[in-house]
Amino acid sequence: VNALARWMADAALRIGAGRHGEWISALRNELDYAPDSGAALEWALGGLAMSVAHNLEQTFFPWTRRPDEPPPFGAAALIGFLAVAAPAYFVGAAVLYVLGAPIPATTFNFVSPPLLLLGAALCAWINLGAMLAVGTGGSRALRVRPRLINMALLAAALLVIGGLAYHAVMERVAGW
Amino acid sequence: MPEPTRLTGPLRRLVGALHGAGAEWRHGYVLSQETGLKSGTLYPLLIRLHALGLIDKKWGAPEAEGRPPRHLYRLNAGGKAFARKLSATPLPGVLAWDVKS
Repeated sequence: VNALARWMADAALRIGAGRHGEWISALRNELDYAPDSGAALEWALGGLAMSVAHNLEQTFFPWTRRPDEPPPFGAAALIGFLAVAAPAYFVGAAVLYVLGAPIPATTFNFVSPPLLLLGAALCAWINLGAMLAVGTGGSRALRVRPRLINMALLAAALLVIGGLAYHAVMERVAGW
Repeated sequence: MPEPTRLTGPLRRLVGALHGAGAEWRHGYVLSQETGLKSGTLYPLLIRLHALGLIDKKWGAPEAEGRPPRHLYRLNAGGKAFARKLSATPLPGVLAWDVKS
């Protein structure tokens, strides 16, 4: 249990390094003073939750990030992948269905298109947000910090959004 | 000096505990025990109070050989003034009850 608590505290430190690095180090050091393993685990869990919450805040709301903080490229890529994977599957299934593949309509018809669009848009938003950084001090200029994985996911999200939009238009116009 | 805008129960408990300690420095774990706050609630509050310039922090010496140093916290002059103001401000629920009665 102690080893797990330490692992969680170290993970909190890795995830939350940056603005709150010193605070999370302080939180981690307190582990040695916890009276028992259960208390240490609870303490470490709180630290991990705090780090993850901070990371998510920076991922979804990039303007909360200070210019000297490292962008959460990894978190954006992971959440973006999950957000775009489902729409990609359903769009793929829809396209195959339209092309005549023997796929039952229920394969892609039970998740609403607005939800899929929201997933793809979320992926585009957080990956774009991770790559954009606001300048320091008086300079408000935007700088782009390109990362291959974030650019790839952004492109995938835009493709999915395009696919969904195309499918929606064709459904209305061509009566698919 | 800027002050927290959301005067939540956990914030009140933490400021109360720090105020009760007076000029003494307090560790995070001790504050957690005194206030009943979990680490995931306590530290974001400490960070907020420090960002607002209401608490001082420092690294203390390790308490024993082989143990890590600990962060210590206490209210500064601005923090003490805020604590006094906070203790004079009733909780919204109490105020509503008083008005009704």
